[in-house]
Order: sequence, then C-alpha cells, then structure tokens
Amino acid sequence: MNKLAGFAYTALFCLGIAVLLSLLDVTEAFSETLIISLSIGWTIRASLVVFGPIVGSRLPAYVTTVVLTAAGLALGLGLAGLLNEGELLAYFSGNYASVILGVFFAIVGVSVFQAHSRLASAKAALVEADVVREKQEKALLSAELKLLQAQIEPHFLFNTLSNVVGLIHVDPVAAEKTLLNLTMLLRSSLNRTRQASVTLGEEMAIVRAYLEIQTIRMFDRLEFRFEPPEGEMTETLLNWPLPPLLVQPLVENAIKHGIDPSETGGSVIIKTKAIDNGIQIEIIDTGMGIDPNKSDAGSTGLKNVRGRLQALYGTQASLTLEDNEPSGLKVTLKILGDLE
Amino acid sequence: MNKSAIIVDDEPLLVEYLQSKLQKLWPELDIIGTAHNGRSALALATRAQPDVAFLDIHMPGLTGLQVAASLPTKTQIVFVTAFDDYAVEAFQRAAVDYLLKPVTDERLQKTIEKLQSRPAVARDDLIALIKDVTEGSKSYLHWLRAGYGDITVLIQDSDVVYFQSNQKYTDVVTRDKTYVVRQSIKELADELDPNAFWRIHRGVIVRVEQVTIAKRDLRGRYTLNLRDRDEQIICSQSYGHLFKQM
Repeated sequence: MNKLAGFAYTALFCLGIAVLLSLLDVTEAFSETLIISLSIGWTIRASLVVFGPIVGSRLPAYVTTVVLTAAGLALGLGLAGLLNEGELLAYFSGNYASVILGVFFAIVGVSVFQAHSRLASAKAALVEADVVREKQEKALLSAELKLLQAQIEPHFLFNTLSNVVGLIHVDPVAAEKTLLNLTMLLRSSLNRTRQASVTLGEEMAIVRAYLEIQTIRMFDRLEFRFEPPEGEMTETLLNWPLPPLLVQPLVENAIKHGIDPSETGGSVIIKTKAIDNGIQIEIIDTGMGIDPNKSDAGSTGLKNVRGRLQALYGTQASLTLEDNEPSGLKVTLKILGDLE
Repeated sequence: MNKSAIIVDDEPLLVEYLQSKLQKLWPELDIIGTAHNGRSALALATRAQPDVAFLDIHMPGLTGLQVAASLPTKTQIVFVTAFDDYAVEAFQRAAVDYLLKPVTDERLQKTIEKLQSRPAVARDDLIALIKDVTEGSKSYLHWLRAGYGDITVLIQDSDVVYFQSNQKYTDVVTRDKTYVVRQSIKELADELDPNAFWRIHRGVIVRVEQVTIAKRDLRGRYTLNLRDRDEQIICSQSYGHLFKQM
C-alpha cells in the first residue's frame, strides 16, 4: 500500500513539473512533457523500490540513492524516447535540454521524497519509543501494585497478634516490643509504597523489626545477624538510596521458605558492602534451600523485586540466587549507580 | 473418665497460651503433652493415644493436615490456624472443629462443649477433607539449577525466555544471559508446565508469554519475535498448530 502511494505521489509531482514547464513555455507539447516527466519519475521510483533494499545492504545510503536515481533517470529518458519518438536515444542527442531538466527535477524530487520519508520514519521511531516507555511505566506500576497487595500477609499478621496476646501476661516487655516492631513494619509498608526511595539504613531497620517479630514466633529456631551490624555501617552505606521494600521481601522469603519449613530452623545473615560504584546486599540463609522439582515458593516476591529492579535500573542491577553451603540459599543483590 | 489432649504448634508461645486457656476453661482436661512440629506430634500421639488433638496447620515437616490423617482413630481433632480461608471453609463443610488465632475464651468454650458432647468425625470423612484442602497442586519444574561460567545459580522459570538444545545439555536463555543446565531438552519438556512453556522445535522450548509476534512463511514455519530478546526463533512446521489461532 505504501509503495503504491509512493507511485501516486510521484505521478502528482511529475504532473506538477509538466504543468510548470508548459506554463513557462520551456517545452512545446504538454502531453509530450508529461510522458517524459512520468517516465523518469516512475522509473526512478521503481529502481529505488526494487533495487534499494538489495544494493542498500552493501553500499552506504547516499551512494545507493545517487546510483539508483541515475540509473532510473537514464532508463526513464530511454522509455520516454521510445514512447514519444519511437527511438530509445531520442533525448540523448541535440541540445540535451531534456537530460538537463531531467537531472534537475530528479535531484529535487528525490530530495523532497527522501526528506519526507526520513521525517516519517523519525516520527514512527518516536511513537515506538513512546510505546516502549509506556510499557516500562506500566510494568513498574503493576509491580508496585502487586507489592502493595502482597505487603501485609494475613497469616503473618494474625500469628504475630496471637503471640502478642500470649505474651501480654507472661512477658509484658516482650509484648510491647513486638507490638512496636509490628507497628513499625505496618507503618513503613504503608508509607513507603508512596515514597520513591528510602535509605539502606531505613530498610535495615524494617528488616530488623521483621526479624525480631519472627524470632518471637519461632523462638530458638531462628537466629539472625547483620554483617556489619547497623551501628558499624559507613555513612555512605547507611544513606545509600534504594527503592522501598526491596530487601525486606527477600528476607521474608528466606524465613518463609527457608527457615520456617525446617524443623530445626536455621540462621539468616544480611551482608552489606560497597562495591565499585555500587552496593551489594547478600541474604544468606541455612534453611531448606530450593528443590527445583517441588516449589515455586517465593516466586511472587522474587518476581516482584526483579520486576522493579528491571524497571528502575535496567541492566545496572542484578539479582542472583545460589545454593548456600552446606544448606539453604544465597541471594545476591547488586545495584550500580544511583536510583534515578 | 477425664479426657486427655495434646497441643501441637510450631510457635512455643502459642502452645503455652492455649494450654493456660484450656486449664482455666476445662480444668478436667488432662494435657498429656505438647509438640512443636508434625513429626514429633505423630510420635507423641502414637505413644499417648490422646482423646483430643489441637493441631496447628502450618508447621515445618508435616503439616497439621498430614498429621491429622495419621492420628489414632479415637482422637478428636481441632485445627488451630491463624488465617486459612480455604481450609476453614472445608472444615465448616465437614463439621470438623477449628479455632482461629488469637483464640478467644468464648470461641474456645464452644469447642470444649462440642468435644464433651460429640464423637469424633469419621476418619474417612477427615481424610477426604484433607485431600480436598491439599489438592490441586500438581507441581512442575519452577527452578533450574544452571551453570554460568564456573558458578551455579538458581533461575526462576519466569526469567527464562527460551531453552535451546546444546548437545547433551540445554542452554537457558534469559533476558541478558545464557546459562547451561545438565539436562536434555526432552527431559526438560517433560518437567515444565505445558501451559507456560511450548516446545516449538526439536531443539527449542519457548516461554509462551515471551512470544510477541508469530509470522508464518510459505513453508508453514513460524518466525517468532520475543519480548525480551532481539533475535527471532523458528517454530518448525510440525509444531505450527500451536500458533494457528494467534
């Protein structure tokens, strides 16, 4: 369709040339001029359409255009000679007026049409870029929505509350501490989804609150530690900007799918360090690990974290899962550069 | 004669709490033991033959549901759970008693009355119920242990774009890397979720979600464009029916 339209526009352009030349009295018969102009216009167009893709893959674009235009022009003049005079080379003798006019208008015509098509493809590229950007924004939005839904797991909430109820009379101090931790967790998860970025220090406080609650629940089945402890982390690390709720869901996965299903429990270590122009966070647990044939455990949380990393950092961030020795899982999160 | 009971919950505080409540509301009940995971619960029940078992559902090792299926037939079962929509619904249908955590005195009182007056639910009904609650989880391969250089990483099935046969092994192609798994493409094809992954060639399995455009050529093969990769992959003629409706 596009190609047909191209030929139609060319015909219009050629008609314009014929009319112009006749009005200016440069040539004699209008019909003869129109035949010459159409022959040349269409042969050039045809030569560009047919041979353009073939030659274009081997030669630079401007060489292709010049060569094919010249060939089309020569062919068109020959064709017009045949049609008007019954002789192929009719316009290649005498005063060369037709050749000169042909070259002039060929240059004008090809330039105009090429400029137009370049503009069109630039517009198309712009539209495509818009589509890509829109797609990315949508992906981010949907990941955030899912995060919002997944945040407060009812099972966790009710179990924690049950523990608080159980503690109130026997250990009021622990009950209070647990409620404060739960409050912090809830508040942060409500606030932070509306926030674009938090600091690593803030995220670590959330992780600690979460782990302390889990320790109350699981008692001696869970141990955890931060390396280095939050108090010994450098200012740079503590103030490192992160998207909210990036580390906590990974720690939650380690507990829910690593430690909690294990009768003997295990430990979780959160290691943070600055790396060249970035940050590395490792979440290492000694729990059940992953049985590839069995579970898609934790896949939603991981998918979510991965989706947000991809949307926010592109290739600047990575999330790697490895088996931990002798048991459990090691999750490594690497982020280069700053959060936009 | 006084009834005997065991309490099973992986959270020690909750065992203590339920125990103290029961002692207050049903002093004649003889609590003969507690356990913190499924396996020790089974051992305890076999040894002690309790009249009543309070079972948490979520536990490491065996779940409360699995434990229930193997308890002595005389044992009446009360499930205790923090939040299980689907299970609670099933319990109501089968008239099995359950308690929601945190347990209130009023609700516990009702359970006590039921236990004192009613016989245990027939074991067959219970086993049918447990099947009902735990069913519908035929599992496919969701994780791949794959090599990348000299390290082994775990890849989630949703990160795979496609698999490509590589002699005895298989290449796993993700958005930005290619890994190797020590399995043939045929073995993989049998283990992957057939709704999520389609074999489109003798040597290629693609994740369906990744296919954006399928273009048919004159020989009946399809050329597939992928969402996260720039290269195109070929769906051979014999698998072409997969894309007929697209």
